[in-house]
Amino acid sequence: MKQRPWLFLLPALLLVSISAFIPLITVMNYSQLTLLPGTEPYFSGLENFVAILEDEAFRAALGRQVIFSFLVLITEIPLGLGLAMAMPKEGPGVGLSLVLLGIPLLIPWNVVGIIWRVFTRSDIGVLPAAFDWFGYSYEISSSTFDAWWTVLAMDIWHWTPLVVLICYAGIQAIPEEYYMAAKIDRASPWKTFRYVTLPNLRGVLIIAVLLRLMDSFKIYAEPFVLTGGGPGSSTTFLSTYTSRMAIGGFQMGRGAATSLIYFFIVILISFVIYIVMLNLGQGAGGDQ
Amino acid sequence: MNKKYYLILFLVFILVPIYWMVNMSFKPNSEILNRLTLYPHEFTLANYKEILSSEFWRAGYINSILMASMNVVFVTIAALPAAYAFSRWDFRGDKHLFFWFLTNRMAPPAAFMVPFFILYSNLNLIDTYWAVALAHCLFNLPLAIWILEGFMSGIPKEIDEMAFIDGHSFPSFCWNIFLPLIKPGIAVTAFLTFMFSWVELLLARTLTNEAAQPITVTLTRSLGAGGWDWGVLAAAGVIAMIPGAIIVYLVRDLLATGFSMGRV
Amino acid sequence: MAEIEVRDIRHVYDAGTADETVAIDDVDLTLQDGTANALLGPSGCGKTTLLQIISGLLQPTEGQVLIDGEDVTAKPPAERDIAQVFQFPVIYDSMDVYGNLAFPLRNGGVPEAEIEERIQKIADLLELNDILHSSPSNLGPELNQLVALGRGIIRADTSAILFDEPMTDVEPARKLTIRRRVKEAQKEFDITALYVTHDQHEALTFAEKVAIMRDGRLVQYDTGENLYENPVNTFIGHFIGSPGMNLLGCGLTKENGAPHAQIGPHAISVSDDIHHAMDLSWTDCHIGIRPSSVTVQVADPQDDTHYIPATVSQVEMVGGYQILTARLDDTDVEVKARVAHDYMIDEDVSIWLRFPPDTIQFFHEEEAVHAP
Repeated sequence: MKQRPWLFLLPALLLVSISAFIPLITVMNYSQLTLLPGTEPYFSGLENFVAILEDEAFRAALGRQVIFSFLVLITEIPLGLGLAMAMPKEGPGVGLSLVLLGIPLLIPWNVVGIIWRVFTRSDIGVLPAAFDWFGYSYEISSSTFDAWWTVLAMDIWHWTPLVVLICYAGIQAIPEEYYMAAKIDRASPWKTFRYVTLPNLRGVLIIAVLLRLMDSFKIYAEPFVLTGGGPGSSTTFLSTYTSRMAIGGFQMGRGAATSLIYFFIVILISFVIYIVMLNLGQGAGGDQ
Repeated sequence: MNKKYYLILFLVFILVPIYWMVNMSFKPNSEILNRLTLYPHEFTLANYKEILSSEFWRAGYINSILMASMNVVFVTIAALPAAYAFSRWDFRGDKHLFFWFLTNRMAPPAAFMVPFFILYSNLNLIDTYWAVALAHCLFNLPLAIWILEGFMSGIPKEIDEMAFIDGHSFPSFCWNIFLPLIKPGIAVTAFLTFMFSWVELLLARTLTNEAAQPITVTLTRSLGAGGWDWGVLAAAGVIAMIPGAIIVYLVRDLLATGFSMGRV
Repeated sequence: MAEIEVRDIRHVYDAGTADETVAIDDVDLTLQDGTANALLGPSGCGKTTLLQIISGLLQPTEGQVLIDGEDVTAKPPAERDIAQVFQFPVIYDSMDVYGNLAFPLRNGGVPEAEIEERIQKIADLLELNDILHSSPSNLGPELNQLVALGRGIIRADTSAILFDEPMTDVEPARKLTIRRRVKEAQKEFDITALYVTHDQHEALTFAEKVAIMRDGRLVQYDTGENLYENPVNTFIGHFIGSPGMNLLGCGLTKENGAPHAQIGPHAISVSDDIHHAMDLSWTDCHIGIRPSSVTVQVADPQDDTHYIPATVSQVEMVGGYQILTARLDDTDVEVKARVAHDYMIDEDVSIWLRFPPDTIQFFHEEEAVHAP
C-alpha cells in the first residue's frame, strides 16, 4: 500500500518528465558548453554563467523585471480583489460579468499586443488622440514613461480578470453567516473586510499572487508586439532578454545559462513569497 | 451601489481597446491612416475577405482547437490522480514534490524552446499536434494539480470512507461519487487549461511548421509576410478573438457554479 | 432585556419572478421581556426567515417588528441590539477568543477597561477563562459556539438573543453541557431569547413558551404543557410528543340523543362539553388521544362497553417504556399505547383498550373542538 501514492502520481510524473525534466537536463547540459556554429562544442564550466551575470543588459533587464512584477502585483491584486467584491453574487449579472472578464484571458497573447498597438499608436490609435485633446502629448515610441505605463496598463487589462475570477471563487465560498454576524456586531465595512473577507481569502490570495508573479516574469509576446522592447531597451524584460539569447544569439550555451539563472530567480522569489504569505496572519492561530 | 459602478467602469476599460480594434477592422486603410473615426465611415468587409479566403486561417483554427483540447485531456487525466494523491495521503516527500510540480509553471518557455525542439525532433513529433499538446503540459499540469487539489481537499475524507464501507470499489467510487462532486472543479480547471494552451505562442511556434500550425502562429507569420497592413491585422485579431469569446459564453454557467463552489 | 413583537409579518422571496415563494404569512408573535422562547417547526417552515426578520438581516415584505413598543422595522441589525448565534460557530479566525469577545464592544467604542470587565464576567459565566488567549481554530465546534454565544451577550445593551439551531455542529454528548450554560446565561442577564430548532426536545427543555410554525404560518404559541394537552389542531397533536398523539379518523352517529364518535363498529365517548359542541352534519373528524392516556388490558373486561377489542401488531422499546401498536378489531385503525417497560405483552395477542373520555381531543377539519 505504500506505493499507492506513487502509482497515482505516475501519469503526472511521466508527463512532466517529457515536458519538463528531460528538456531541463538538456538546458543544464548546454549551459556548461560553448556552442558556436561550425565548431565542435567544448566544455566551459561556469563561464557562461559568469559572462551573463556580468552582462549589463542582463542586469538591467532583471532590474526592470523586478520593478515590473512588483508593480503588477501591487496594482492587479488589490484591483482584482476589489472587483471580485463588487461582482454580483447571483442573477444574470454573474454570467455577463464572467463572459466579459473572460474575453481578455482568451485572446492570444500576440493579439493582445496588437489590440494595444492599434489602440496606442500615435498615427492610428485613439488613445494618443484622446490625450492630445486633454493637452498631454502621448508618445509611446519615444517616451520611456509612456511606454512603461502603457505596458503596465496592458498587463492590468489582460490579467486582472484572472485575479478577479480566482478571488470571486474564494468570496463565494465564504458563508453568508459571517457577514450577518459582522452586521450584528456593528462592524464597519473596513472591519468586515479586515476580519471576515481577508482571513477567509488567504489561501486564494496566495494562489493569485504566485500565479501573477510567475506569469509576469514570463511576459514576452505582448510587450514584444506593443513596443518591441523600446524605446531603446526600456521595456525589455527578462524573458525577452532570455529568448534573444536563446534564439536570436549565436551562443546557445549562453542562452541556456540565462534560462537557468532566470529559472532560479523566479523559484527563489516565489518560494519566499509562498512562505511569507503562508505565515501571514497565522500569528493568532492555524489555517482556516 | 457605487461598487457596481466600479465593476462597470472596469468592464468598459476591457471593452474600449477591443472596440477600437473591431472598429478598425471594418475600415479601409485610407480611413484608418487619414482620420480618426469612432465608427467606420466607409464600412468595408475587404479585410475579412482577404483573411478568410486563405486556407491557412481555417486550418489554423482547427489546429488550435484540437491541440488545446488534446492538452486539456492529457492534463486532466494526469492531474486527477495526482491531485487525489496529494489531497488524501501523506507520503514521504509529498510537500517537496508538490512544490517541485509548481516550479514547472515558473519555467520560462523561452528557456525550453531549443531543448523541446531537439527532444521532439528525436521523437519525430515536430509539426504534429502531439508536440504542442505535450509541451503545453509544462505550465498547465502544475496549475491543474494545484487547483484540483484545492477542490478535493474541500471534500471531507469521510465521504471516501463511507463509500468504501458501502461496498464501492475504487473505480466505482471515483465514477459515481467523487467525480460528480468535483465536477465544477474539473470545469474550472479545464477552462483555465484550455485558455493557457489556446493563447500560448512561443512553444507552439517553435514546434510547428505548416501542417500543425495553430492560429496564434498563423497570425504572427502572416503579419511578418504582409507587413503592417492595419486593416487586415485588426480583422485577424478579431478573428483570433472570436473562438475565445464563444467558449466563455458557452461555458458561462459551468464557470459560475465552478467559481461559486469557491475552491480554487 | 426587552419585549419583542412582530406584527402581521409576511415575507415573499423572489417576488414577481417564477420562483416566487411565500416564506412567512400573517405571523403575529409577542415575546415577553426576559423570557426564554423557542421556535419549532419542520425544515423549511420559515423559522430562519422569521429569525432574520427579527434581527434585521431581512426586511419583511409586509408587517412590523417592534422592540419595547418602538417600531424598528426599518433599522439595520447594528441598531437593534439583538444578538444572533448561528447554526455553525461564526468566529473571527484571525483573532483569539478575547479578541472575538471584544469585537462587538470595540466596534461600539466601549473603553478598554470596561471591555476587560465585561469579558471577565462573560468568561466566568461561560467557563471560558482558560481559553481566552487561545486561537479559536484549535478549539472545536462546541467551545467555538460558546464563544459565539459570549459575543452575542457581551454587550450590556443586548435586548434579545436569537439562536438559529445552534446545536447542529455539537456532538450529542456535549449538547447538555452547552445548553445548560446557554440557559444560565439567559437567566443571569434576564435576556429575551428565541431559540430556533426542529428538535422538540431541545425546544421544550430550553423554553418557557414554544411557538410552532408550519408552512410559513404560526400555528400555536404556548407553554409546553398546553401544547401537549391542548393542541389547537391535528398537526400540533401529531408533532408534539414522541410518539405523537393518536389521530383516529371517525364518523358521527347519534346515540342516546347526543352525537358520538364512531370508528367502525365502535362508539367512543368523549367529554360532555365536546359532545355538546358536535354537529351531526360534520365530516372529516378525528379523535386524538395521547399514547400515554390509553389504558391497556389483557383480561376480557366482560360487559364494560368502554373497552374496545384490538390486536397487537407491534411492540417497541422506546426510552423507558414500551410502545405498542394495536389494530382495533374490525377496522384498519391503528392505535399506539404506552405501557411500562416490564409489561408482559406479545405481538398478535388480543387486548382491550380504553380511551378515558376526559383525555380525548376532538378535531373537526383538523381544528380542535372546544366546549361552546
